[in-house]
Amino acid sequence: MEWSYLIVLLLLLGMMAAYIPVFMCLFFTSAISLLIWTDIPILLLIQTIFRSMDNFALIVVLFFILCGNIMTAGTIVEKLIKFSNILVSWLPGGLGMAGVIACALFGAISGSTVATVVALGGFMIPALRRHGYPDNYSVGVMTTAGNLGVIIPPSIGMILYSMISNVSLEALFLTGFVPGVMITVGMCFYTFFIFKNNKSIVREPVPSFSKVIEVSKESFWALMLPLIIFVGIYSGMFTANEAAVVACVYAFIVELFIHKSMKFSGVKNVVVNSAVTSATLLIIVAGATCFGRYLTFENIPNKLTEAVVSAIQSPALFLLAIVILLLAIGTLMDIISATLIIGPVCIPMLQVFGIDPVHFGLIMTVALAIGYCTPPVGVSLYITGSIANKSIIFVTKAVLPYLVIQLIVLLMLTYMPGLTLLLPHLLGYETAGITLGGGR
Amino acid sequence: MFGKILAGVDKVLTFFEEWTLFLSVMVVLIALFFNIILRYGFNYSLAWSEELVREVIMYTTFIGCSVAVKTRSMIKVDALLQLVPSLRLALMTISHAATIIFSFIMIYYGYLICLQQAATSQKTIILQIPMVILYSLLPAMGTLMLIRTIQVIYQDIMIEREKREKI
Repeated sequence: MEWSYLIVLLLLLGMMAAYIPVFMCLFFTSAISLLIWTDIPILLLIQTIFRSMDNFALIVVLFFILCGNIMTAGTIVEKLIKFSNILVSWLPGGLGMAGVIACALFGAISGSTVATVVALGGFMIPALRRHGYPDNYSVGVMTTAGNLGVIIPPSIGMILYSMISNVSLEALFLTGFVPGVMITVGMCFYTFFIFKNNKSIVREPVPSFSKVIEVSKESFWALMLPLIIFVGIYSGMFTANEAAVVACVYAFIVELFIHKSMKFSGVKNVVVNSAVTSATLLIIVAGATCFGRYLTFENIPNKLTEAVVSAIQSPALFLLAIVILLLAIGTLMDIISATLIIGPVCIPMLQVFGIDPVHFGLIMTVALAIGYCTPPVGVSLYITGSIANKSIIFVTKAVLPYLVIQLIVLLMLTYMPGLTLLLPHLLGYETAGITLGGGR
Repeated sequence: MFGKILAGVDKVLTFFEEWTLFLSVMVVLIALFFNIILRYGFNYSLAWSEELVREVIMYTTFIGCSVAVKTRSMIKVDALLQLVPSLRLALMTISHAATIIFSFIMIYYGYLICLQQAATSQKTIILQIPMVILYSLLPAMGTLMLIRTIQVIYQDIMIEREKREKI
């Protein structure tokens, strides 16, 4: 019965709005729906929660979170900013650009937006203020640059997308670099044009060669980490799983013995915090699996695909509709819940429209990431707002130009699959190979 | 008095949760790392490591949820809360009530599943751990979440009371 789907949707959204933990919303909704419309016993759902955790691939989530947390607890953030600063500090608006580049580098270690905004924003916003940068610039740029954390791999959103869609995680990771670089360069250019004629901010002199070498040496161990992860994965030495393990061991060794920024007692805290963070994400996987049971039992993804296909004929229009939907959902929900709820419904439609699932995975990740700083309820807005002690209206105005830059990048990625899939194809990853419009 | 009991329970539970989470994650990290070294160095791999990993994921997820309730780090949609802050008290109450209901469901049905598993006396393939022990993580999660929720509600009431006294 069609009206029952609407009730289920309203039930789910209502519970979420009522501040109930997301995984419980998913569990309760599927339990209630299964009880009313089917004769499946609740016991099966409990079994599903248990079984959905019985999955080796989930460990990669825990270890990438752990790796990011070790580096945040240590001194890496400082070292990355120092390194980025020496690269661009002599340009107009140099410190601002350094903030963006540091976010990008941090993104290559961490997989989460919130972690990036907290770690880099907390450091950079006061620093920018000290150097005389206007508040609306520093808040705007540091709120939005945090998105690079989840766009540049390793990214937790991509890990879960690859799990539900069965696309290669390694290929999906590769697609993240192009938008990451585009957003970084775009934001740096914009900074350059703002501060080109600004005389009040003192520019640093061009650093001497020996100074560059000195700073690079100091940040060498930190910069090696993303290198180990990606060279390891793409040379075929490690799987993504093993890369996460090696990265954690490396990060522990560097922070404990080389930087000496962490004590053994600190290790326990970092590990426990990471385990809890990963638990809050993985339990949503369990909730989403329960909800998936309901969806497949009622055959909803297929019915929805039929409805969408009969309403929209052109793939371009379909993508536009999906991007708008994702942007809207991204402001309300975190990237993990959104990926797990929307993904299974959208993936069956891709084949009909001839869209590559790897391409779609990237669109989804970037669109949901932008939601983190979309007014009025994006999480990042509130974090930087409280760091800089500014009202939400001030932050909203401040982020607008940067939001526009990221939206332009998103649209380019959406309508130029060749650009998105460039790196995976160059490195020989087989993607579905169908490009926009070629499917029909 | 009630506060004192809660504080005592909290101390014991926190100690238990933190150390078991820490040890299980470290054991898996080390096991997987050695597995990589063994595979490259000696062309040999540990058969039990994969099973151990899966068991540790279950353990960290189900027990980690209890800590997440305590530290209030469960993932929730806070859009409505941010737009209408005056609803705070009502939303908190609903959220806590839902967690309590979920805990009871977990305890009751988890217990039923454990009984079923105990009757079949299945074991995991390599490590030979009885399945009933793994399934008992579900009622354990329910119980821990229930205790943690009571603790968080108590904290909330105390904060509310202090606010009222100040006014």
